Amino acid sequence: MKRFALAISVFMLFWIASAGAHGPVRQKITETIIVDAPPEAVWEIIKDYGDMSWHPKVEKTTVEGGNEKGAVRVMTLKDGGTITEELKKYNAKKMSYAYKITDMSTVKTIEHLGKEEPIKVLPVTTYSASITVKAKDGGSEVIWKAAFYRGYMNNNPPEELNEAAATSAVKAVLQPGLENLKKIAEAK
Amino acid sequence: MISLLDSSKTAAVIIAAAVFLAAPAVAVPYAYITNQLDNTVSIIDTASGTVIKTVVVGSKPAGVAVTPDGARVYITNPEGKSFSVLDGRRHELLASVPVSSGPLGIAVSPTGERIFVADWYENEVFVFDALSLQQIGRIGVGQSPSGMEVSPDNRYLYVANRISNSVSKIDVKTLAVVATADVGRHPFGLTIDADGRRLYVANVESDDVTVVDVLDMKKVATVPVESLPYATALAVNDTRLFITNQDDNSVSVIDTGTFEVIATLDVGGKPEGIATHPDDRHVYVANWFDNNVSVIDAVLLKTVKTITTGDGSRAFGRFIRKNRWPIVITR
Repeated sequence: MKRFALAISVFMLFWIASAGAHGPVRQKITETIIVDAPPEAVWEIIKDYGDMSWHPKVEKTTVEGGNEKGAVRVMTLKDGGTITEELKKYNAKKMSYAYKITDMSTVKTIEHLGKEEPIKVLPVTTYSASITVKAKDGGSEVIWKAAFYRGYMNNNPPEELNEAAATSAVKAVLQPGLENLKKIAEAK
Repeated sequence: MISLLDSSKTAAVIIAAAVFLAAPAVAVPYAYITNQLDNTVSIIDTASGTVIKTVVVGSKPAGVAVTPDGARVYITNPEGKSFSVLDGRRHELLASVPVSSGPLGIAVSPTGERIFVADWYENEVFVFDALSLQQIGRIGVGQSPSGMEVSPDNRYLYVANRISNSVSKIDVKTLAVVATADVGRHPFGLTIDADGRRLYVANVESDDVTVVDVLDMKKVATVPVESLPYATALAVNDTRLFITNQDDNSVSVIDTGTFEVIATLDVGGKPEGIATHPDDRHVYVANWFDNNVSVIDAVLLKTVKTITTGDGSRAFGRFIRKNRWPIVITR
């Protein structure tokens, strides 16, 4: 009888694992790039929190609070829209800073399950990230990490606000940013 | 440490005996780290500091609780809407128990007889009998219940209600909420001390820790820490409280006598679950972003080891057996 109950439980496990309305689970991405330049020189380019001119998608950046914890920067994107971020940690010695998104403009709205859902510049929720420059093999490695939830926090997200949409949108910010940073640093 | 034998509780004794016959006590303390992004649990042998086995559990495992004797390990699967039961000795999956829409926090009574599962969406705590794995009760609490602790005397269950900014005190016998404490904004993890007198609650949104006296459920102190405090653990004879700061990649250390932060230690990326080894000196921290566990020496206040685990290590709950030696409690 006990064995039978166990068999049922194991069966239930597989059944449950394959069924599934999905609640949101936090996602993470790490993008890295090797740069043929000293880490100090690479850090010099990105060290000012309020200067995102090295990122090809950013039109302009304004900042309040410099490089102090709590500083707020607003980036206006070339494709339109703004992203507001707060500086959470800044460590010049470790050539690293961390920040989180506090606000974003809405690009459009869609209809989902009979409700209007705003689509933000990045279809993510509770986004935090850090960027770090490290010495590597006589040059540098830049490590950009981001953690976030998908844009839709209830069950059954629309395609525009699911995990895949969030992940590809974040990659589309991190990758060209790092590539351009490499280009600038290696041209110096 | 505790070995009570109350002759009037024969039924309980028989049940407990059955539990221990079925699953002999475990000598080596293991740390059970839920890896939310690869649906596994990494089992760390704390003697060698290595992962000895990785077990596939349910979908997106998050919460974890270990019985005081280490014989059973319970893991919540929020996406699988269930909790998994692991044998703490052979490290095999014994069962999966369906719960509700969003099981997250999980705790086990000091006797090992009851399992409490908090449902994030349904604002309820589900109570299970550990032997039969049958649901035997449910308790309405505040909104989005998360961390839970049972008092060492097995009389009260404490539940952090994240959205309600409160902690519920529940009579374990009657399953009634007997008191509620106001804490900081969005309490998540919490720890009760060995005397069962004080609760330490990490408030994710107000970036602080609330200390609550459980007798009147009133605030004793509020201690500011770093960004996004997530969970807590006591060590060194309850003199030091360790708090993971999820957004600061650090652990704050509070002197529980003065309520002052005496150190902030760097750990891995996005530290979440935290638990103290039964030696009362080593504190284990699951780093969600970095897929590893930092081991902190609670006396010297430094990281002494980093152990690679699985993807999205979360380990929310008491993921290491609490007691130094396997104990037998009959009531």
